[in-house]
Amino acid sequence: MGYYDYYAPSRPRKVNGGIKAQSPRGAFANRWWAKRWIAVLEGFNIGARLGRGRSYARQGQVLDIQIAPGAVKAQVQGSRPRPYRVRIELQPLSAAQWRKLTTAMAAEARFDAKLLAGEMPTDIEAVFQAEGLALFPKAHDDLKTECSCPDGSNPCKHIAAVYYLLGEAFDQDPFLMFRLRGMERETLLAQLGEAVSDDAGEPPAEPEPLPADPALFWTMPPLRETEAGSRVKPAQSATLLRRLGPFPFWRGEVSPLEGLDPLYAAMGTRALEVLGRVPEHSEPTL
Amino acid sequence: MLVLHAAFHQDRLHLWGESSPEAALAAAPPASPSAYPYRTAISVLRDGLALAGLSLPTSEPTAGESTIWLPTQGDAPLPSSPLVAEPPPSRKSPTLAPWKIPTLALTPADALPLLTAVRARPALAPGVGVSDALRYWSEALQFAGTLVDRQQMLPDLVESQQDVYRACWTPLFLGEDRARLERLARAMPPVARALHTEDHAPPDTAPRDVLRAFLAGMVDHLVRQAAVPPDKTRPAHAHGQWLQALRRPDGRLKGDPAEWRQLAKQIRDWQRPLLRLVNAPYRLCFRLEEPALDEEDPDPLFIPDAEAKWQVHYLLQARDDPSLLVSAAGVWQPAPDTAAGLKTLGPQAREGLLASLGQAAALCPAIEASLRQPAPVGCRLDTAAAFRFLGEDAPVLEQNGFGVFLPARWAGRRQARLTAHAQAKTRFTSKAGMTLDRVLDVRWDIVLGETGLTPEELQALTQLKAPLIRVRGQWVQLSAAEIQAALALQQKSGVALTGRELLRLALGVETVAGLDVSTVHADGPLGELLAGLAQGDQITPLPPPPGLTATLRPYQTRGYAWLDFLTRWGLGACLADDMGLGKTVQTLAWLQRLREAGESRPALLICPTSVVGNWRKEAARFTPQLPVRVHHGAGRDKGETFVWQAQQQAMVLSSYGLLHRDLPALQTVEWAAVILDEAQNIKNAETKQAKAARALRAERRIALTGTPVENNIGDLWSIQEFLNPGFLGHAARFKREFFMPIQVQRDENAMNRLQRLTGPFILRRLKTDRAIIQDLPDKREMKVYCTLTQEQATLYAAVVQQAEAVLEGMEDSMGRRGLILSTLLRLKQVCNHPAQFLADHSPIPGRSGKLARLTDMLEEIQAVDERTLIFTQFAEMGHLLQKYLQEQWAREVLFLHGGLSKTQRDRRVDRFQNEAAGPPVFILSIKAGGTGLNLTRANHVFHFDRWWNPAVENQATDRAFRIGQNRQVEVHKFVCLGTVEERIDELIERKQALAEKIVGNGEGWITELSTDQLKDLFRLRAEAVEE
Repeated sequence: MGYYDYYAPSRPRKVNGGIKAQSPRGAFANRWWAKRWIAVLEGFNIGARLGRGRSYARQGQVLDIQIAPGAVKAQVQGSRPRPYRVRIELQPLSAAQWRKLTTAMAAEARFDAKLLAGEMPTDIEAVFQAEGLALFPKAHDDLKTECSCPDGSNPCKHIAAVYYLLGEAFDQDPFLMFRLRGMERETLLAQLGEAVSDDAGEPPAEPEPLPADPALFWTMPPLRETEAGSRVKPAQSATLLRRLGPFPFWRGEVSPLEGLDPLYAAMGTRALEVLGRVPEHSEPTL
Repeated sequence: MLVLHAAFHQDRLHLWGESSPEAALAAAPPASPSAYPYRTAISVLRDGLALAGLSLPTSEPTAGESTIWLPTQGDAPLPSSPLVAEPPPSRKSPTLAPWKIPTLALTPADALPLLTAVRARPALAPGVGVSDALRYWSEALQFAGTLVDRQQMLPDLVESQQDVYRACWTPLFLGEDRARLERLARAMPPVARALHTEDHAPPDTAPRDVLRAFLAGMVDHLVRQAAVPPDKTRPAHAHGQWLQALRRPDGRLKGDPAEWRQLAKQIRDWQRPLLRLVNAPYRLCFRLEEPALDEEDPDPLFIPDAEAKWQVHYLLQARDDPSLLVSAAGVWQPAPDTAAGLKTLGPQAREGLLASLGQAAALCPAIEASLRQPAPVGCRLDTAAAFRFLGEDAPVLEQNGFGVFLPARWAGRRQARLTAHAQAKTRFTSKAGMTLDRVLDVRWDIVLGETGLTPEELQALTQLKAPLIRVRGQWVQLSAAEIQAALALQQKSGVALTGRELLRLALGVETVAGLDVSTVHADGPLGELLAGLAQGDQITPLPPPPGLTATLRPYQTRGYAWLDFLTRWGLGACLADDMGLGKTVQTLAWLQRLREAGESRPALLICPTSVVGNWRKEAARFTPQLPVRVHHGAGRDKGETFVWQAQQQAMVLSSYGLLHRDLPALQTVEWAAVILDEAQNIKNAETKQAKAARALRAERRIALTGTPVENNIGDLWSIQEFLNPGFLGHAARFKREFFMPIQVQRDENAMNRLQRLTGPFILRRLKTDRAIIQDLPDKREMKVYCTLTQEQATLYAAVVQQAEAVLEGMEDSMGRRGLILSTLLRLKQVCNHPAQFLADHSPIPGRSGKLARLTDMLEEIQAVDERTLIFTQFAEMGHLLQKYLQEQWAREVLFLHGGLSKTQRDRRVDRFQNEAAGPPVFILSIKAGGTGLNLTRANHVFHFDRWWNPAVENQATDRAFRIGQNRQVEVHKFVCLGTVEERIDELIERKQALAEKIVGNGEGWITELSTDQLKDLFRLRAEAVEE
């Protein structure tokens, strides 16, 4: 039995309001790029610590994660009173290197399409490799990990927990990976030639003064019967919510989808009941 | 008169009232000369709402004063409608000025019951009118309801006040909803956004923004109605607390505002990709193109091979102009002819197209594959992929706001194209044994569109992996379940059904084993029934019975034959002809025939009290051979006597009031038929009289009504349940299958199904039907026989008694003359209304038989949008009628009398004749309005009281019946049974030719009668009184 094989499991202190992985079991990542990220971690031969890391990620032992160009800083609650400090470092790319990459990417529509839709283009690696660069870390050389916990193994379970949560976050937002490599979303899209506005909301409508003519002031034109719209039973409940994807670094006890899906499923019937209910004096009820 | 208004301001719907100036003054004297003259105190508002059964919770301090900007002339604000006050003659153009008014601020929870009560009703309660503004918000609420039904909202976080945050649900407007929002915003009456906090400039927030704020509040409230309140434990972190607050009735969040600010930012980042697409001025659409096929294909049934090439094209559709479509190719490579279109889509069309494609790719694998190219314009599919696209991908894409256009020759996803055809074999040939409860053998054939399928072909369909086939040039998509069901059914031939079940199938309403039934064929008498039902009143006519003294018009003969046909089969029938087409005579003809055919049991006819006299009179006139008895009044028969008496009659007349009070006695008799006149009196199935009607024992049932029954879903069930018990299913099932889908969701399929199911049992002809018009003369005069209320009868008797006492001893001829004329006048007033006679401004409703009848008839006329003139010789009666009708319906009623100036008269005439949505009823004093005016917009004329000079009456009627009138004119002359009115009317009728000579211009001829003749004239007969 080597040093790395002996592993004494310890009980961490309970945390309320920590970052919890939103997938209750199974993979932390569904999309290929996040899977790649996690594969790097799993390439380190750290045995049972991977499993412990996953549990920590699911239980919400990770208190905080900050992603900055070149480094991820996190705090993880272990068995000791004071949380451990975790640091994961990746080599960021220079502005000039990024310029070359974005020029290459701008040549094909699909890079734009995918990125704008919140997805990592499938051939993105080829673009990096053509410049002699890499997006994903290769094990050992590229990646530096540190943790203030007493376990000598590196990566330890705390680093693993943070790593898994990062995978989940990258799954939802590939631009976080770019940030780690030194490039912000807005800058990247601008360099790709896309006009980007941060504001997704609709501008308020032009002001419209009130007419003083009494013939216009009080009346409403006749409305078509079907103006309110007819009922089309949704094919799936909470579709819009599902379309948003997981909330980055969610800290609630249950995920938004889990918490709100029952409400989505019930709201239609209930609303119609409430609207169909009329007070005694107006319509006869069946 | 009180008119309710509502405006939306600062997240609350503010309710306020406009009262006529006298009422406003009476309630509270104005605080200053510049106070709003129509101000309505909050307490009065609450009283008005209470009249309608609404009480608003007073938990929040909601009452207050608000500033509203209104069109003002000089220094007085203009009223919203003449119901409140007469607008001053316009001298200069009005401007907007601020006014302080008392308002009630309603939370969404408070507003909800009010807005649902207001729906499609002009008056909330007598004297409480609903303005367009209030009705508008009611429509907006319906829109909010459908948004919630389709789950078009996302959880959100807003700063409701400085540093105070709330979890809320924000609606999203995707696709069609966007267009609806715009249309609804454009329809907003400006007063609905006229509240403002400042008083130096009027508000100018765009209607769309005001509407959005209202919808957001309502959607938020409606969503929370479905939430199960979370448990009390407070989650540790802001995220969990936010989630919990979304499910609590109150979404307020406590704690550090900085934390909530940060969460708000995180939520925005999370939702940004979706919102960007939602708020773009365009959306991505997919157009499916079918493979090019040989047009000349003789084979009606074509099953494409697996390699057939289907195409999906990508397009951008402009949000504000759905007809503007730019193909993806046009976006990648702008060309001269698409340049204009591209401009409308905005500068970010390319990015938007890409982002949308990226999102759609996540939903549909075929689209994903097409993104490998640099500038994708579409994708190719084989038949199996096309099937998957149609069945699975397209609905999901549509639900996510993308547009999906299917090929022109697409039969439609919702139509089940595999249908079953039933062939019923009857076991008997004679009509005698045929009732609908008999069980029949049925053979099932499977039909695809119009082509029959042999079992082998059906088998072949099951082998298809992708059942997408072309039948007679139309593409049809079948489901595996459908095919299996069809196969199973075909093998199960010989299934037995009762005639009644087969009838339901024939009406196209049931499904068999999951398949729609397309046609039902039956031979023998059952086949005749099915054919007959389909014909309506084109049925083989019957000769009118010899005992009928009236001459039936052709359409009436058809109606009577139809009644006979349905009732012979044991089916209940509803005759819903327009008012004035002669439902009475058709029913009497039917009854006469029934008696002549040998029926000896009596028929029971139930009608409103005010019409009992009319029926008796008509029966005596048209079917004099039939013994008819009125069951009414304190001295009516009871118990055994009643049963014995009833059995001697051909028809017993009674009222709805007595239907449930005397039910035990009525139930004892086995009636040949029960006929309900004005059947809308049982429209509410839960009332005692509706239940009583259903409890009677009768072999045949008929319902008569003048209102379009099929438009009121709730009423329809109750009437049908009386006519054909069980046919529409029990109440809960009906509510689920038809009432909720039609009334609330406006489901067209359910509407059509209900139509098919009830259509054969309702016969409705309109005066405007081509087939009827020829049968009707241009002007029809009808007498409306009314009764007196108890109060009227007492007053009448008192007047007569007093007059006779004086008359006895009177010798002086001048004095005698004067007394007779004044007595006549007073009797006329009593017959009109006690309040007119007593001149005491006492309450109006419920005290006059004529008024009750007038109200009912006016409602029927209003229901078909026709217009009316009402003549009376008394100005006081005119005022009374105007006040009463305006309060009942909250709609303006015009009144022309001698006290008006020429300008005022001309204005009223002009408004009646020319104003688009002007008042539909015009009351005229016969002296002032009986000559010279042109009022051809009306086609109903009422003579509420009579002048008894045909020339004078005709001249009045001719206000409507003259050149320029292109519809039939109906003249209704009111006569109170058993009173002097009826006697004089009879006299004039008898001496028609001499009438003018005798009657002359006044009533002087009456004074020539002897005392005995006068006593006879004045005496009140028993039938005068209704109760």
